[in-house]
Amino acid sequence: MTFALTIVAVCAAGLGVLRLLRLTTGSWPADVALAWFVGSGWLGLAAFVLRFLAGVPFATPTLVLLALAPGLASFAFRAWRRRRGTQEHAGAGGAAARWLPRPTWVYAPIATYVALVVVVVLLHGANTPTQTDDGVRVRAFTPMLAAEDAWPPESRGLLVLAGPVPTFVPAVAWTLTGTIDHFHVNYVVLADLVALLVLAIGLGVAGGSPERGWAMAFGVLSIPFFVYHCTSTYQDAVLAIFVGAALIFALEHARTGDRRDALRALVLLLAAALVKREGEIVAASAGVVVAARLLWERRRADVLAVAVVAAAAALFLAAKVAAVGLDAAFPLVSLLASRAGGAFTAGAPSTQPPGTPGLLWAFGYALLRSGNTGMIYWLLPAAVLLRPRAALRARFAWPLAFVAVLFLEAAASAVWLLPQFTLNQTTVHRSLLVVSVPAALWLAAFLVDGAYGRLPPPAAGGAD
Amino acid sequence: MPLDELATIVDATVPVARTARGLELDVAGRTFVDLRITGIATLEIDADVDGDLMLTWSMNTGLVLPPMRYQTLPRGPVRLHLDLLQTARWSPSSVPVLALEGSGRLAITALRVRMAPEDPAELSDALDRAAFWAPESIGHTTINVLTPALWSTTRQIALEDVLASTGALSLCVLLAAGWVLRRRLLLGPALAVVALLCTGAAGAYFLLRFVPVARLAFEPDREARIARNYYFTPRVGALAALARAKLPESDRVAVIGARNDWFGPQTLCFNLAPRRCAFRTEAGAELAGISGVGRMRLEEADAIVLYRSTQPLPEGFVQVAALAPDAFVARRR
Repeated sequence: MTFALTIVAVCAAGLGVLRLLRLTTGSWPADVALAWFVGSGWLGLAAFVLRFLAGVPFATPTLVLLALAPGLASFAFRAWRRRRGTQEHAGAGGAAARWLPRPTWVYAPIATYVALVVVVVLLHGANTPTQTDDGVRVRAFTPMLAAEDAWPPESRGLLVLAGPVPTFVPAVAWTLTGTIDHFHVNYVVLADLVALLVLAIGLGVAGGSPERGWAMAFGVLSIPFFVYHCTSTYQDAVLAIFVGAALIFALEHARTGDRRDALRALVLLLAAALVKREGEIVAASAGVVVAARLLWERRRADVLAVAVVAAAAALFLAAKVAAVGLDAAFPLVSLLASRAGGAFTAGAPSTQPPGTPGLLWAFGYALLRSGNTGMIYWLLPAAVLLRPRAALRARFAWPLAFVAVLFLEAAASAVWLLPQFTLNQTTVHRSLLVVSVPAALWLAAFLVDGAYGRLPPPAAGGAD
Repeated sequence: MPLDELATIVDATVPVARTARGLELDVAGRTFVDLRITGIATLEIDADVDGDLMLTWSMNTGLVLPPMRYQTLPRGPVRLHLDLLQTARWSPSSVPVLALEGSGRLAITALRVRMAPEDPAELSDALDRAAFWAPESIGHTTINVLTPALWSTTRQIALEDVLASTGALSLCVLLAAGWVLRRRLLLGPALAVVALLCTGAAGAYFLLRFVPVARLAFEPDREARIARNYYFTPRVGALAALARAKLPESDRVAVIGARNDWFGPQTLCFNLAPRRCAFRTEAGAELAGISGVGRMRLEEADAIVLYRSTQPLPEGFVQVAALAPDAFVARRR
């Protein structure tokens, strides 16, 4: 099982980054899960920048250095701080955690469902070789290019399409051992899913509400298309997982007011920007919401933190331009420009045959009746409409804004930018995953807190 | 159905021989067998399989549409239960089409049919039941869209419509119960309960359809996983595994595929990594790697994997392992 090497390298790097940035949560399951995401982002970003900005080959020495460097830097930084007598942050741990949700008779079926789906996804996902295809097999192919460190000009476009995280993370063990095991691409996707669930449950437990964590896990696993995608080597589910992890911390920030939760969300969105071509757009829009919330309080440290994340994102974009050139680095910009200029693609409304259902109908069908999203888009608006004051209180409002921005972006893409794929009901479902997962997480948190009477009291009297 | 009667309704793209065993046909590549009889709900076929064959059943819509209903046939005697009501666009006037792909010989030794109900209401119920309980069908398009969850196929009522209506009604009942028992509108708990039931039902329904087609055996051998788990193109997986076993990792491999086959050659090349690999689907065309990354001339190839191609094996190569006459591995002499 050489994939264990990948887990160790990614988590070691991630824990190093978290400790260096003082973003550990104090709950070890949550920290390990968070380290997996952050380590993936770090390795993807650093390998990409080193390879294409500095010309450093992606080879064993580079990889070992990237895996160990954050930990070593963190160790040195902490030693320096100890010498200066600065107190270390103790983290949120220490309190007796309650792992089992109550009442048991309600949560036993939920936990059983979660466990069943996870087992099915892990087995089917690990058993299924890469076989899905949309014409080019880039999702699982770019790690092979990374393992060979061979980037002929015709391959650079694939790198932009796949993104650095799906490209470099599956290649970690291949590079270290010199052996290509195709299934590592599957294992990375499965590890992402497990990390998301551990993060949700672990943070729920650490926050004294395992009910919330289990409900979140149940919520995301009730999205049929998401569950199916986790068994493939496509990266749509992976992007949704990274964004979902960021939303969990947005909810944590809204619950605790701890600014480091918002910073964690921002770091996770930076990692999400490195997944797929669409990742940077999705992460940027959600990132604006998180950054705006952070900067609202006008703390100097937060301004600095946002600037550091923005600088890292700029570094990524610079490396991308260095890899493929300016035009190819931002293909969505030219697509947006041509669409804004009035260009219609085949199948768009102007070329629809008479009698074809309209775009809005097709989009509504994808949301509500296609069987791909489960009940999320029925329940989310229902919950907000029935309890508007609770939903719009600060605690849930800004994470809801996070979800709303993603939804508007997906809707614009489905109805305006790429209508043909909504009319023919193809990629519209994939593009919705990145909304559905955060929406399910938000809804679960909102409903559980509402059911347990944990919603904060209204500022003025009256019921929701 | 007596075999002699069956022989009169079979219309195949290859000759069908009436032997002592039954109706026999040789399959090489793709073969279609039409059964010229209408109104069939289910087929039960006793067959004897010799070779590697996959069977897809559909109705004569002119095009096999998702959800694809297929099964890789085990070698030897087998009894197949084909629920035709689960196929796309079933109608009382359509005839079943059996598509066989692979290489081998199939002998149909017995065939039993169950006719669909003639009463329209009963037929609608049967169609709705069949579609509702049908397992998910994994195919090329599943990555873009799952088979719609329909409460009623004939009336096009989505499961979500039913769950949403039931959920709204349940919410009203729970709120009323809360008001009667506690004089309070317990909106939070009621909403949570309804959401739990609705999402649980949708999720459980998906599981119900997905688990039957999921590969849930623990298989540590990755070669076996490649060989057996190309669900809807089993020969691609089997040939990839065969080539991986026969060709050293240092070989440069050329994959020659069938014209317009966008899936097989790429997938074979992908699975042959770390071997250098390039493919072509047109005779004389340049060999290109996956997504056009890398080029190769045929003279540079150490080995050839040929899959469903009518192109002849280039000179200087000799077969070293074969799955079928149109699916084999060759190396330079």
